[in-house]
Formats: sequence, structure tokens, C-alpha cells
Amino acid sequence: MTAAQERSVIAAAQRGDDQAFELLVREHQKNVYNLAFKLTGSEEDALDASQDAFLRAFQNLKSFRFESRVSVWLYRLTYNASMDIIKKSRRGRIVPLPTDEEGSELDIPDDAPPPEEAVQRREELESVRRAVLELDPDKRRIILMREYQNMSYTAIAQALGVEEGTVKSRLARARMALAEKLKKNGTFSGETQSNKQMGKKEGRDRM
Amino acid sequence: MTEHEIFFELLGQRFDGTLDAAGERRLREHLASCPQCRELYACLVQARGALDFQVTPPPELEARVMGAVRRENRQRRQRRQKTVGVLVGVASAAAILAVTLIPGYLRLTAGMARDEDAAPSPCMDGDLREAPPDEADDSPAPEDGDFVDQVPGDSLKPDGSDGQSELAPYAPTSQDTTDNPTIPGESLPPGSGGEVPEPADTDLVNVLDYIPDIYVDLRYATEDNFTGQVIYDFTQARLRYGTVKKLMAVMEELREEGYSLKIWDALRPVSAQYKLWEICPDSRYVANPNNKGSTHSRGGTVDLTLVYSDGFEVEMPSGFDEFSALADRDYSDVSPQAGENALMLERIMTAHGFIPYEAEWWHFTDSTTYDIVE
Ligand SMILES: [Zn+2]
Ligand SMILES: [Zn+2]
Repeated sequence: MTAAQERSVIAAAQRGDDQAFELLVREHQKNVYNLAFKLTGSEEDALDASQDAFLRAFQNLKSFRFESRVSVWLYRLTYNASMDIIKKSRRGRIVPLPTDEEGSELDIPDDAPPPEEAVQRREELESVRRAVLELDPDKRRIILMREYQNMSYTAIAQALGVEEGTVKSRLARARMALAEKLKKNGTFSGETQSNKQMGKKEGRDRM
Repeated sequence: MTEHEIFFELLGQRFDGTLDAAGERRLREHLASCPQCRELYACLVQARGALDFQVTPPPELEARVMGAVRRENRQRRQRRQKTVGVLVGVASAAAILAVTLIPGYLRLTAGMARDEDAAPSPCMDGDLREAPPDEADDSPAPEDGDFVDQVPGDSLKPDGSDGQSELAPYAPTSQDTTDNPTIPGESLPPGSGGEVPEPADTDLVNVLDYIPDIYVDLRYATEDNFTGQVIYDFTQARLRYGTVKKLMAVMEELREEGYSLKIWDALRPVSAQYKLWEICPDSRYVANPNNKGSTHSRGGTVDLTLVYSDGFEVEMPSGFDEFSALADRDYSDVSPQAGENALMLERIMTAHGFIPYEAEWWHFTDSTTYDIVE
């Protein structure tokens, strides 16, 4: 959808046109749902968060002023809806740690164990997710915009109200902070680190 | 700004593909001298790999959202009709007509609505605000009346329900199919005539089928390896198709510079790893298959070196499977040219989603993890 088409569709949706709003949902649901999934780490929560985001968009459609692209606005709503769900689940129930051996075994039905690679991917996503949630909000936001939503520097600069150069230096610091969290949490030390430790002893394992 | 922060800015440019030669040199110098940033860098590359996937939203999402939206719109319309009267209905009919992505058509229909608004109408004489909804049916514009009565969403419900159900039937659209990856013609196996479906990312494929100009010298299929024995009973370099796609991107970049790759080892099934272990049961030389085994057994790991496009080997820190300090990724102990070349290989491989192994400059693993191949 070009910006002009988006304007027309939003205007129609603002007048109460269901089908125009449906076009917006179809256009953006993939990105909205993916962001929600990568943030909440569960299909169920991602569905709830995406639904909340779209309904909030619908309810606030009248106040949309075309100052930013719809996608940026929807991302913000999706992020807020996802964080609400994460906060609620933290308060309300104990979320088992997905990397916890016993916890993950409970989820695996005896007859059909998920492929090891799927489990590993899930664990990796979970580690990234946790590290991202541990970042302070400013850093988290810029990481989300660039690494999760692929927003252009121009769009990020506009959304944050700063220069593009500032976006790049903030992003660099945020990436560094994220890498430090990942390293501290340990899942992503991978071959590199384990072999560093090997190296201290008597040489590294051959692969 | 610290050197480390500058490194991360340069890294950002590298991710974006906008890093110039001077920046690349500076980045490499820092990588070579700062073990801390090397580790952070590896973590970041892996994390980006872990985020590099797409999930498909379930059909319920659209159905649930639109169920609630239609209900809300209908209620709003009814409220407005009670107080405002029929003109609102005419306006929303224009909006309904305007469901198209073509702005020109949208302007056209909007213009039509304005014309009708301006045209003399029995409604214009009366007090619009008090016109009861029933009078809409008597207006001289029957198609407008139809639109007022018919909520568009209802037409999507073949069961004739009132649309109150949250789970409206999901109507697949053309957009549902746009996510299928397209097959790049040149990546098809030779002689396939373009009819062979693209493999799944987890499928094991012969690399040469997809990258005909890559060089393959599978050392363990010959006696030319550190054991002096033939280990493999096959001669093809096989990898996961997802990994091959990443190699394609690497090759694309290398071709422009007049370089290519030579593969020394690719998939090494667990059976072959046992054979190696029997010959050399020492984890300093062979990964123990009884422990974690080798990443080569997953089909996402490849040993390779940089060659010129004619296949001539470029100077590198050491030979393949050399068991000395020269083999690791600390290039301070090798010639500047060899270090430079190894870093170039490392840069291109990591830019396309591979994780370099610290102890062997030739060994790279796909950031996507695959199952073990027995
Ligand atoms: Zn550093
Ligand atoms: Zn290897």
C-alpha cells in the first residue's frame, strides 16, 4: 500500500467502513503478529496482543492524524499490548523458564517429541526475548524498531524526534547492551566461548 | 565514544551493507585486537539469526478483529441513524463504494457522493436531524438505501447469521499465498527445467546442484587428510538447503570481487564421525561423537577457504585441519595478508548468517540450528 492509498483507506475506515478497516488488518496483520510473537514468545499471547492492538487502532482511528505511517502507529499499539500481556502474566502466574530442563519436558508429549532443532530455535528466541526485555526502555525501543520491524532510519528518526545520526549511535549502544546481556545470560556463547575456555586448558576441540 | 562503541557503529553499517573500505579495515583491526567485542559480536550475530524467521498469523486473528469491528460499526451506525438521520447513511454508502485501493476511484466515488448531497432531495427540505430511519427507504436513491440496510460484513457470512459471532468464516485471499518464497531460476538444479519445487530449508542437498561455480575438494573422501585414510563413502558436499541459500548470498558477493569458495568438508554424518574417532580418539583432533559430537553432523556447518574465481587458493593462515596455533582466529601469528584474507572470509560469512568457530579459521556454522544426521 502506498502512502496515498493508505490515506484513502484510513479515511474510509474513519467514516465507519468495515471493509476498509479489513484491508488494513490484512495489510498489517503479519507484521503485527510477528512482533507480538517475538515479544511474548507464545502463539496464544501473540494472538491476544495482536487482537488488542487492532481493536485499539479501530477505537482510536478517528484520532489518527497521518503524522506517521499506519505501520509505525500499529507497531506502537502492538508493543504496548504485548507488554501489557507480559506484565500481567508475570504478576498473575509463574511462567516456567523455557530453558529449564524439567519445565520443557512437561510440554513434550511422549509420542511426538518436537524436533531438536525446533526446541533449540525456541530456546534461542526465548533468550533473545529475555535479553531484549531486560534492556532499558529506550534501548529496547530502538532495537525493536530496527531488528524486529526493519524500520528505516528515517522512520525511526521521525518516530523518536531525533536526527538520523543520533539514531545510528543510539542503535550501536543498544546493540552493544543487548550483546552484553546475551553474553551474560549465556545461551549465545556458543562455540566461541566454550572453546575459549577449552583454549585455557590444553587446546581447543576439533570440529 | 569508546573504541568499542565505534566498533558497534561500524558493525551497524556492515549489517546495513554501507560500510566503506576504511571502515571495514578499522572494524577488522578492532575485531582482531579486542576479544571482548569478538564475543559480543558472535552473540549479536546469533541473536539476529534467532529473530530471522516469520510466523503466519492464525486466521482467527482477522476473523476476531473484524467480528468486533463490524459489530461496533453497526452499533455506531444505528446510534447515528436514530439521531442524525439518513444523510450519514448516504455518506457511509459512498465510503462502502469506495472500498478499493485505487485512489482515483476513491476520489471519483467521493465526488459522486458530494454531487448527490448537493442535488435537490426531499430530505433537504425537512429537518434532517429528525428524519426517522424508515424514511430512508422512501428516498429517491434506492441503491443508497440498500447500502444503508446492508452491513457489508454480513455478505461474508454464508450461514445468514446476524454477524454477532466473533468467529466469522475465514475467507482466504490472494494475500495468503504471497508468502511462498519464489524460486530463483538460476538456483535450480541443472536440467530440472524449472519444474522442481524448491526444497525445504531442512532438506539436505548437493551444494554443487545449487552453486555450480563453487569448488569442492572433500578431503575426507580422499586420503588427503590428517588420517591418511578415506573416511567418507560419498563424494558430494551436502548441506541443508537453508544453509546453501546463505552460501549463495556469500558467493554472489564474492563473484563481484573475483573470488569463489572451495569446500573442504560439509555434512559429516555421525557414522563418519565415529570412524574418525576410531582412528583418532583424541578430542584435541576429533570431536568426540559420544559427547556433543561435531556440528558437521547437523548439515549446517561447512569447512571452506577463499579461492580466486579460477580456483587458485588464496593465502590463508594455515592448511586445512592443521593442528597448530596458526589455525585459530587470532591472526597475530600469521602474515598480514593471510590474516586479512581470513578476516575477509569471516566478514562475508558472518554477514550472511554464519558463525565462525574460534579455533579453526575454515569452520563456519549456520546460525540456524539443524538436527543431527546419523
Ligand atoms: Zn572492543
Ligand atoms: Zn569444520
